[in-house]
Amino acid sequence: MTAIEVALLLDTLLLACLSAALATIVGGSFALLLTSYRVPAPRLLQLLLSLPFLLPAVVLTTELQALLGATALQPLLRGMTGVVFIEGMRWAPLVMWGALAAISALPAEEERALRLLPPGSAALRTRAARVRGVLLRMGALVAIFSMTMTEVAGYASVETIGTRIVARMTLGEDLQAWWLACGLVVVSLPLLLVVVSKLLQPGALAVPTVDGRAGLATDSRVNFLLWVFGSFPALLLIAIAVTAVPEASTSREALVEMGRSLGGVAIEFPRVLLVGALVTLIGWRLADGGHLWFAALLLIPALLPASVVGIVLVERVQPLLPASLDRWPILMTLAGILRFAAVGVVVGFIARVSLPAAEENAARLLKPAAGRWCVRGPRAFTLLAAGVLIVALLALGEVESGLLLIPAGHPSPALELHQLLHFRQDEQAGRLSLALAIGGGGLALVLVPLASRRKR
Amino acid sequence: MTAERLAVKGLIVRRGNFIVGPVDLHLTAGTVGVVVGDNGSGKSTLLLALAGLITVEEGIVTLDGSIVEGAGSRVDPWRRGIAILQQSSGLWPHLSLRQQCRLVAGSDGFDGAGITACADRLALVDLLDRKPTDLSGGEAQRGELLRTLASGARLILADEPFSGQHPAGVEKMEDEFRRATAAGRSVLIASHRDDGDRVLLRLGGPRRQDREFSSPGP
Repeated sequence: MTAIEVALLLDTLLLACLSAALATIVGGSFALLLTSYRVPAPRLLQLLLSLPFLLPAVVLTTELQALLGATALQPLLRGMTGVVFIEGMRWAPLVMWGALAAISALPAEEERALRLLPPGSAALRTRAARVRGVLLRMGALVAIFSMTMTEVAGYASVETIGTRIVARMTLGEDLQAWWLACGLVVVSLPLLLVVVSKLLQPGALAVPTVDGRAGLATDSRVNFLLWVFGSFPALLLIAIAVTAVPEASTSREALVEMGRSLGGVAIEFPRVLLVGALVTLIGWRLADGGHLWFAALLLIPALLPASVVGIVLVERVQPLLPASLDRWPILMTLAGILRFAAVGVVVGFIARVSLPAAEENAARLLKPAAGRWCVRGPRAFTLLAAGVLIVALLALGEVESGLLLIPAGHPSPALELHQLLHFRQDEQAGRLSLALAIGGGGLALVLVPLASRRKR
Repeated sequence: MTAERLAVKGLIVRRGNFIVGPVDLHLTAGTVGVVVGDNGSGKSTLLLALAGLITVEEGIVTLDGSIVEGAGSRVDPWRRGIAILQQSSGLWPHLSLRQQCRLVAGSDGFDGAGITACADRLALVDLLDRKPTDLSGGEAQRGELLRTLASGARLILADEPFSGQHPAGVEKMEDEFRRATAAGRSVLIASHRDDGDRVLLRLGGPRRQDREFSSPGP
């Protein structure tokens, strides 16, 4: 590794840490305010605040550029500031979800005692102190996963270790690329193992038993603040919708195209849900069986740029498959499973330690299969459903490995979007983005209430 | 001669810098024994160790003549034939009481009629199809006893089983323990209440220091 590449690695580490810090502050603050105050329409607000994660990175970046490009805020989107801003905003909803889960899982007695404290200072501070550990771990996870960033960095014209690896591979300098990838894994894996082992503390999440919002304070300033932030993603959505209004094409063509886009998203749903379900189930099963080392192995692909995973599959696995399978998205699905296995492992381990000790003890007195499938599995359902959703959304927005692995004729909305934006077909891209936002939001609307209903 | 159900010899359990033991204990089949101690004296830790739910540092635990812990062997908790009624509710909130009883009932456990009869005696028959979140604290505690009994386990460990029960509830639970022992099962209760001649072991001493405990002797 040359001195330049070491400097690049350190720059990437700095970018990842700053992005994670921003995501943690923003996501954590939203979660604390949403759970400490009685805000109007909290579900809608949560959905709006989650929007940056529901949209593929390419849509988020281009729409932010469209919104802010002509304003004084334009420098926010350029260079390292741009990477930190966009990556931070993109991952903030994930931190928010983690913190919301941790706060909603506080034991009932503790939550009731918190609601009797003055809301503005004591309750908020105590709640923040109570979930500080979860927030720090979520932040560390975001930092580690951001280490492989290439997509957002590419849009902001910043070189990272990930973009350098991809560039080396594109130029055919495979050996150097693999050395760099090894360097990235060597730096990131120990950090990831520490964070995952910290997530294993039993009782980190306890029994979710407090219902409703009874006893929560109302504060118009908090409402205003949250709705201002919530309206920003809504503005983003409006900008997308405005871009999608037909100008260069006729309304009929636009409608047909919108229908085709929604169809493409719908066709991809079963595949990304399959990836999400498989990854989450594998992660949880490994956690449930205590297979730590195998789980650690599954963390490695997440520490490599998606293109590297794609190239390995194209060069090493595709030649082994019969040509008749080329038209099925098998390798694309496999890439998704490998790429997002780490998310499944993390979700699996969190689900594993979230069972209260008394319930866990009682389950251990059952036959192992009964304990696993009749008690621990159903009790982990909420978190596992969240895991399926997160992985499905990530897989839906995946571009890098898709570029290499997509079978001819198979719809990939994110990839199509990437190409449309590349050729400045903004109007069509707007319609496809809208279809993706509708699809992602719909998925969240279906899975989240399903999970909440089963949790009590 | 009465058969020995549980024999504990030189058992030491360490949790951080808190040590319980060495403990010696003998419980015969078809009897109720009580472990007495103040709050924080290690009663719950001892019961969890006997059930195999926490790691034992030293000592031997024998159940019906077979070593289940120590001397190089460790039997999985679910194979020991032990059921535990814990101080905090261990009922699974996603299942009704009836479903939980069916789940734990092995070949020696209660059948459907047995579950209903036992629930009737514990004043739970109308609550059998409710989930734990729809039960009061006392009902949930009796519900957990019902699940424990339904398992058909040879040895029942009960950690402060009467806390939070009104006198009639305590009487019903005591009746069930008597019924279980009459059927040849054994019950080991952890309590801070001195229970006269049923006391097998007294745990005491300051918290978080190495200490030794002893049986009151025959």
